[in-house]
Amino acid sequence: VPLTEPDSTAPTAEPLLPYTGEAFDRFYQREFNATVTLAYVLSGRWGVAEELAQEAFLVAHRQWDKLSHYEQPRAFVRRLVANAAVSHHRRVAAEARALVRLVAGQRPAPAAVGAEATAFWRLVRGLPRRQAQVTALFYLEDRSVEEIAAVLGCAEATVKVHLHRARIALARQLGAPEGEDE
Amino acid sequence: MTSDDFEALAPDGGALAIVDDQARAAADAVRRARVGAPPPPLGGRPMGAVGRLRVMALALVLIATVGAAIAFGTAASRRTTPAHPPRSQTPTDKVAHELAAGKFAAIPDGMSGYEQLHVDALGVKAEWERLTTAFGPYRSVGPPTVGGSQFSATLTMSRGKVELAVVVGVNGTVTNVDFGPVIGPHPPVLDIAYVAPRALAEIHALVDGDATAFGEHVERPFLQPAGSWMLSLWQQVTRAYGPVQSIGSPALVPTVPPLFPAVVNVPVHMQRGEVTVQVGFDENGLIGSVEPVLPGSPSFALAGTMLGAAADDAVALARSVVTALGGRNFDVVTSHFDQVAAANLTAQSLRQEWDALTGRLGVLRATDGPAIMCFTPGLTCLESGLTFDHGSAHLQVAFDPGDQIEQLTILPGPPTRNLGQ
Repeated sequence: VPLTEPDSTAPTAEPLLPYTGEAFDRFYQREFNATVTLAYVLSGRWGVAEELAQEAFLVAHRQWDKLSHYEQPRAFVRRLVANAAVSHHRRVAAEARALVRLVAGQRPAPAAVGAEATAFWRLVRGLPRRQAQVTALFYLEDRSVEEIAAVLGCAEATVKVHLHRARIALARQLGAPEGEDE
Repeated sequence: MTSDDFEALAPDGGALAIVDDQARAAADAVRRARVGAPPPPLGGRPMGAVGRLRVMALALVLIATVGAAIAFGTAASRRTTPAHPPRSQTPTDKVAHELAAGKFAAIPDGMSGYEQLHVDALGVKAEWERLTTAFGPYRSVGPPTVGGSQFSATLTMSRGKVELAVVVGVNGTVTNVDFGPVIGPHPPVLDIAYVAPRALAEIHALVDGDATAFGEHVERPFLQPAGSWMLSLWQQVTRAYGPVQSIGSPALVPTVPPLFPAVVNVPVHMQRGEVTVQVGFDENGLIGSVEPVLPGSPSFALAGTMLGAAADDAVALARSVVTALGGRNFDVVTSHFDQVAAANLTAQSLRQEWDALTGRLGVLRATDGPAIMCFTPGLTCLESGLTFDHGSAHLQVAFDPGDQIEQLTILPGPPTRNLGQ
């Protein structure tokens, strides 16, 4: 089944274009929630997601002079987050920090996502790392294959292969009879 | 070669489409959960190496404690919760996901009585297919608004948006599902100056049989009854009442009818009577209904209102028509004909058509329905499935507001819930 065309009327993802000379604060305010959401679907916890996003923005902040003029800061923070979220060690470390902040009451609890969406993203996290990253960027961020390739630093053909295999794997799991995947 | 090179028994296209739909719904749910959350201040967030080590040490202690609690809780919850989580949060989410997954039979399960006749699974399927043809595949469902027992939500399709209304009964079951256009941000004032020229343009196209011009101001996917069917019905009206002599001035129906915010009646003077063409405008100022109201129709039809009893009467009458056909009592069927049906179909021609059908398909063995396909002030259209020894056919019958048959058609194949098909 061919993938459906992006909705021309729905708000679309911001293009991954360079932001020449943009203030970091504005970039941070605008991109933080989207980056956290990407981290959440790949890590499964809001607290961890916030930590990972913060890490990524901190790195971006340190390199902002270069990034804001010559690179694609959006793609940059997403690449950092996508890689960190599927890295076991970095996720565990972020989880520990998130736990401390949660205990200290520094962040309000995020809104519930819903059982069905939670179950779906759990399946995505069960995929091989690259497939999970590609799936999240494609569906959550509405990124094109070209943009996903730019974020992950790989070839477009590689993205297509990962996306194809991910969809097939998800279709098999979603079509499995009740209890089969448990 | 790797094992991935062998994709034996790959899922079919439907399964991949389900993946796409569920993925987009899940993406929407996650995005919505984060909407409006303010980013934390970046300043105090990053920690130095020593701070991190301190936090890590504290966190490890906490993890050991909380992890044990979580493990215990998870084990306890696995004993009590099913393998798959409950499907959805709101009735509109539930219905939207079932529509997207093609599970039409699951939607009207909770319906009963008239509602089940009005919105059966096949009817929902046919309407959903019309919408996806017009607006493209389903993408996501928005948050619901609640008014009484009705939940409404906007469905985002790939080429536009559709309003979904779900009525829930006292026991939480879905009792009605309906679709409509999304009201735009600047709806027009539906006064006579606005509606009259648009109504007249459509009626001229209808009278001329101009399929290209008919529908210029129409909310196409939602038009009742369907435009092509209405053009063919108008030809039958012309056979009954003669050619059009002149078209009178449009007049707004003074009361606010339940189906459309504005309804305009246009008298069409024909050689053997005056037919009123009634045109309903929706909130967007587009036409949602065009239909003839025949001479002698009850006043409620001219007022643009509908009587629930008319639908019940039509259902009972449609059943009696099917019974009469099965018993070859063609005179009984034609005794219910109004002037339009009588001018287009005689008992003799109905007998010939039925004999040809049974000669080809054998004896009538079973019927189903009738299901209501359209219910407007001027028309109630129903469909019944007919199962024969060697195949199936379906009967489509339209009743005028006086409970007389205005149009009767027998079509090959199983029911479609699409008028004229």
